[in-house]
Amino acid sequence: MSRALRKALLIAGVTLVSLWVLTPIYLLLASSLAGRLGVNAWPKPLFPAAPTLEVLQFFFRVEGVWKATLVSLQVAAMTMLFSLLLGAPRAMRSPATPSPARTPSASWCCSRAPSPSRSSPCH
Amino acid sequence: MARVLERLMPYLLIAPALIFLAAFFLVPLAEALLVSFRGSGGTWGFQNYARAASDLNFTPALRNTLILVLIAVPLQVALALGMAVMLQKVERGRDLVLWIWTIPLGISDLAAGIVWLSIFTERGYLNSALMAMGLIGSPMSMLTYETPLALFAAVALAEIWRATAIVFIILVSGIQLVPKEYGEAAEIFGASPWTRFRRITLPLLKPSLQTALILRTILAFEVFAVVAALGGTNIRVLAGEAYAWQNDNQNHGVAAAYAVVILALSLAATIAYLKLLGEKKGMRT
Repeated sequence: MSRALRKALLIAGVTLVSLWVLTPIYLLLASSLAGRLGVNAWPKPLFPAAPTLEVLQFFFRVEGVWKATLVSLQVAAMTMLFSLLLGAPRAMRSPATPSPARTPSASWCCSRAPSPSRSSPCH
Repeated sequence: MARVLERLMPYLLIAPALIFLAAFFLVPLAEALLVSFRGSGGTWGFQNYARAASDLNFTPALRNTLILVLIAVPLQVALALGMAVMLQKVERGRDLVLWIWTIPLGISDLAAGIVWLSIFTERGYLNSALMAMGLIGSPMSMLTYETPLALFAAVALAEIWRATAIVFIILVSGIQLVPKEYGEAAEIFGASPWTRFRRITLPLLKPSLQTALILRTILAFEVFAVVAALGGTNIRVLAGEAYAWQNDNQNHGVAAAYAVVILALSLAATIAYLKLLGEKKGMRT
């Protein structure tokens, strides 16, 4: 396979996966920007004709939204804090488990010379 | 004194994690096991399991969960492996690609279900697209009890979309540890890219694959929010049944029995992965 073809295939693959990830998120965003009528519109337009923040503004005015957001933030912060407090000492205790992927390269680069490879665990 | 402290230090460092695990994992686990074996009259036995198994929804829930795991997990691993290999080859914009591909990781199960609901619902984007192409005359229902295949496909797609990123991240970190020298040496000896991938990358990626498979399979057995958002009770899964018995039927014993069944399946899958993908003694040098 020629180098150009390989590059084209790579670009096509990366684009395809990126579209697979981003399209559903875009569609949800487009739906939320389509306004109250747009939510139930049929057929659904791919691009909202007159984007509006009406639905989002309505959402943020619903009672409890900000309170729920605050609770979510508190839970997230506490989870991170407790994970760090419990995990950090545990990580200090256990030496990195050698894996077959790591061992040869590690011994090579640490005993002889700095590895030129970017993938080396020493760099 | 210093030597005693030094000897004790490893135990002191792992103590917080151990205490946490004991208090919030082992104790509730034992409690759930006890609850699952305690019958309504305080008697001990398998009544809750018998009741769960005789329930009309048990077999569909077990079947759907198992099929979902069998379809979604291999597809996710294959997709993530392809993505990880592609990312290795990307020269410019690598960070941006990595960032985009891991977006679903930051989206909760329920939000992911709602994202896909906007596509598969009767007046959703898929029906709009099919209509625009002239393939259908009126909107089709896809998420109802009468369309189990379409509903299952929607759930599987949403699950694959949502959770491939976690497998991808694990494989990316694993693939970065594969020394490039091996591939370069094989290339000099005339190995094709496919041979290099099959004979060098894949074997060296085994520990990461094992971790990804265990994590992903356990999470797939627990699938709940995506199913709830897309199909409600139109499609039954084990975790959904556990929730229904706990909250709707207020029967903690049967709910615990369902939880134990999920735990047993996860445990069996983990052991199978450890056995199948585990390194044989003497492999490491």
